[in-house]
Amino acid sequence: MVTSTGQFSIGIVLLPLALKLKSEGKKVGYFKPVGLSPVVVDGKAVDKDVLFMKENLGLSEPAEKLCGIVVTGEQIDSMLGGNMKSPLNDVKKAMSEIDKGKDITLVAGAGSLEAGAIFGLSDCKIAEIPEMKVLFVARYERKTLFDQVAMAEQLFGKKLTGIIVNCAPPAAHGEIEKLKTWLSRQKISFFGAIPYDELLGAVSVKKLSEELGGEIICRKDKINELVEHFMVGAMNVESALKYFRRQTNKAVITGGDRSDIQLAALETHTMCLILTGGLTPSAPVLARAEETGVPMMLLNADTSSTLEKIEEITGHMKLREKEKLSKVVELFNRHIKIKVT
Amino acid sequence: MLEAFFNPRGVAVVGASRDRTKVGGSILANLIEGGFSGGIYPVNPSAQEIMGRKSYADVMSVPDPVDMAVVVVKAGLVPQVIDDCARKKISGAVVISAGFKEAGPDGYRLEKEIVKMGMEKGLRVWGPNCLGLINTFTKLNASFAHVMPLQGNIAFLSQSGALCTAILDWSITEGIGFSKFASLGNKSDIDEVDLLEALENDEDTKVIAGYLESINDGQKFLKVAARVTRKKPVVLIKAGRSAAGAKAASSHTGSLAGADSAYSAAFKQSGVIRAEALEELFDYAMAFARQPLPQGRNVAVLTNAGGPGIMATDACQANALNLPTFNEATLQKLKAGLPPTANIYNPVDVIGDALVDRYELALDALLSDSFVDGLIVLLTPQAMTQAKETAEAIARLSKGKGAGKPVLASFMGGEKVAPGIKILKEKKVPNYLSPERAAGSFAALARQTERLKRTEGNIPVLNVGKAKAGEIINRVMKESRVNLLSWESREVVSSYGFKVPAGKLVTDAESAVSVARETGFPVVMKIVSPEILHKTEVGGVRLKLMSDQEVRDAFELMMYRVGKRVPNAHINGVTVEAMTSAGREVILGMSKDPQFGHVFMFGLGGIYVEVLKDVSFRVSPFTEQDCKEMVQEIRAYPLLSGVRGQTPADIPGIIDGLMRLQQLCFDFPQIVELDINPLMVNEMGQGTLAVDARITLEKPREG
Repeated sequence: MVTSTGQFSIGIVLLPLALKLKSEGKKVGYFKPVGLSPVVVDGKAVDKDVLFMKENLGLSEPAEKLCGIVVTGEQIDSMLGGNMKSPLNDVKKAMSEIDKGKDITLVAGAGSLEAGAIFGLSDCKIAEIPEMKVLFVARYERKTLFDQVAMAEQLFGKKLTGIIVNCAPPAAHGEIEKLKTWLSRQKISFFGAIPYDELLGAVSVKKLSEELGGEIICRKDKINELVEHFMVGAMNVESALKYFRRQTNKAVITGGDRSDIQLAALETHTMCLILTGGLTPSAPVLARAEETGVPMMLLNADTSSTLEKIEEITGHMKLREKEKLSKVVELFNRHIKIKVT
Repeated sequence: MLEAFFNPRGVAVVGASRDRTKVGGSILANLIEGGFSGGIYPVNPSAQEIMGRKSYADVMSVPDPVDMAVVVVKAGLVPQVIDDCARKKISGAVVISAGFKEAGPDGYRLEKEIVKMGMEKGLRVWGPNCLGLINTFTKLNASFAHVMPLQGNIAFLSQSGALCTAILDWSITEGIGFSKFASLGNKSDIDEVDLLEALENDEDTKVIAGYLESINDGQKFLKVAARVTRKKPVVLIKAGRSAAGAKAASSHTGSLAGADSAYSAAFKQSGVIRAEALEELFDYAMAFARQPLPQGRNVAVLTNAGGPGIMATDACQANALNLPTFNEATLQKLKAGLPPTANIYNPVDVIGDALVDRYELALDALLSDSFVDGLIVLLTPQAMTQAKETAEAIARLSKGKGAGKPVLASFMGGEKVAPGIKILKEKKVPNYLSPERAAGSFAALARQTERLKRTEGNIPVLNVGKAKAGEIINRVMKESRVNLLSWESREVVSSYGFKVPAGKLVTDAESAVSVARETGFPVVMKIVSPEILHKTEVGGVRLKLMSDQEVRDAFELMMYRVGKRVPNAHINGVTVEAMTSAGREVILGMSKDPQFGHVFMFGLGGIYVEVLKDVSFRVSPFTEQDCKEMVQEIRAYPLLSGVRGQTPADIPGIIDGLMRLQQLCFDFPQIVELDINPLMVNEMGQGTLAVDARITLEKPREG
């Protein structure tokens, strides 16, 4: 089982690991006990992460067989009301179904150590399955790195076989070294640290327009470009230029009538202009965006609610965007030394 | 230059119409009725003859030589017309038609296309989306303006077509004449720089006036304008001064107007006189067209009333004009000829009952005074005032004895002074409604004189560590960062000859202590992280640390606070530097302007820059002379040069610093933002110290 305190960190390891094992000729299975991102496909609730993995690993099983339980509000109510029993045994059964005929089955953690606990399906519980081994991915944070790893060690005990650190900045070198020393004393393997890469936190213009309900009004050919940062343009034009220059790969959110801000953004490294308030930009500005190759997205919402929505989207940022896949695989292969037997 | 436009042998009107209410009809009628002596050829495939002239199916069918085509067809048809024009060997096309850049992406592409075609085929494009052009000396009215302007020596160019018609209309009533009248439209090919070059040696033009919303190529403008203003004055309005105005301009033109301060600096450096409003533009232009330049700023004010005299004096002061004391001979003449109640000192008051004779006497005396560079003559309508006769006397004397000294009049009032004003207009003496406007115009004349006298100065070759700076900058670019760490910025400016405080980058508290001991207390500690741009806000700066213990505590506390406030930031370490409080704080800054390139800023640190906005700007390239003026320009300059017995600061050190930063930007044009804040300036001869520097690089967007 690959587990972590964040879904993002699980995906960043699980997917390339599965691909690597496949490329070594192994039959690889995938199972996710608890799905927290439900989406309805053909009348059935399935998990988005599961769908993504199924597609990218070319799994033959139907999506609903790959997931123990897709959590909905009603189920939580049933558990709380005492009308439902822990589905742990069913989940175990489903998992062993998947594992049949496989060299290895990779089990995805719930996304946090407490997730699924109400159903008796927390990562700890799943780890109790006899043949299960645990790979813990710590997301680098200076203040919590050691605590995260120690907590994992306390929770999983002997089951914990190895650690990977994700989002490690170059400056964290010293801390990683300290961690390694400690791990070797605990007899836990350290498989490596994946460096922080801004691209992985990025979201495509296309995805943004889908989520925000925006209309792309120019350079539709550029909607697959990735946005890493967001900036709001509400200042005077002289400060705007200074401000926009300090950030690259960004989307700028501003009113459709702020032609000065729009032009300043187009002058700098901008991937998308998000125009709020339902105001269309002036024709000459549109022409300039066309020339510089920056898509403009028209929204009816105001700037502040757009920002909230963006926070929501980027807060749940996952690896589901195809553009990031090759990057994930590249980072994993370059930085992680792991042998699975 | 632009001969095909201003002096064509023949003009074809493509899209000519019989209907004078249509643009194609109006232009043809203007050409014919304006009295243009060259060939006029209507082009319209569906007509045999228009306004008594044979009409052609296309320009190629015109048998005679044609140098210019005026194009009035729908935007979509323009490329075909341009192609035809090129085949006919026409060298200039004035595209009146709208529907180009101003209309959106499709129009933008169309505009690009016609310019590209023109470039490939050797044809210049004027406009599109413009009113056209007029040359009053060849009687060429290739515009759809409703009137032909009067002949005169002012050339006027405008980015706004509507403004052109308004000004034309008004100029007729005001009796202002033009040599050339040019509506530039979208400036797709021919722009303000082409016009300046064309008018530079135009004998009919004494002064170039213009209205601009943006400048296409700031560096080229700077170069050409600097040359032209040595030949004749250039007065320009740049609209979009305010933030809201700039926004309106950008929405209109689709180009980021750039900082207004950059325009002001560029105008100043190139000798262009900036007018704030249309009134000023024509006030100045009129003075330049009709009066000689003064030798200096010494003005004699002549009046028949005390109040306006005082107002004129105030206005002179406000415009940095002097009211000199007259020489002995002048005073004698005035004393002898004027009544005892008159004031014979500057401003000279010939008092209310003055007839033309007193004005004549005073004019004669003042114009011969060697201390006087020019006159402002005021007249208010009193019971006996002879407005008409006085106007005649002013015109006569200023052109005779006073030739070479400018005389500006302000006949204040309405009906009673009207006959006098009429004479002044006829005799080409500029008259202004108020003394303030006369004084402003005199100052403009004086500025042009100073422009002609000014020495350019030079740009010295400096000994700098280009290789070292290049190494750092390349590394930053390789890591695909745009912001240099403060530590890297410090190394870059240091390699360009700036003194920086002693110090080091450390990663633990004990090393911090040992660096502090080396540099000596007090020390300053600052966090170094690519994610933290505002160090102070997150607790990443500690000043005045006096002991080992304070340094150790500061290190721990800083790590704790920064960790709390920006938990995901990557920390490279902390710099420990010697703290310097000696000297006066100044700021040297640079921001790359979209139109002018590297624009440098200078100001005194702290509230002077932040609150009072007491800063000066220069566009690169600038000379040491420019730099010197830049430093002197701020209001707080006395704080540097020394007040109340204070020793002057090392001003040459500041100038040297600015020249070094300019060299850095010459060498690394990818620098888009740069600040040394503060630069501590010691006393004269003691040098400067760059305490903190910040550099941002450009990352162009691919595709």
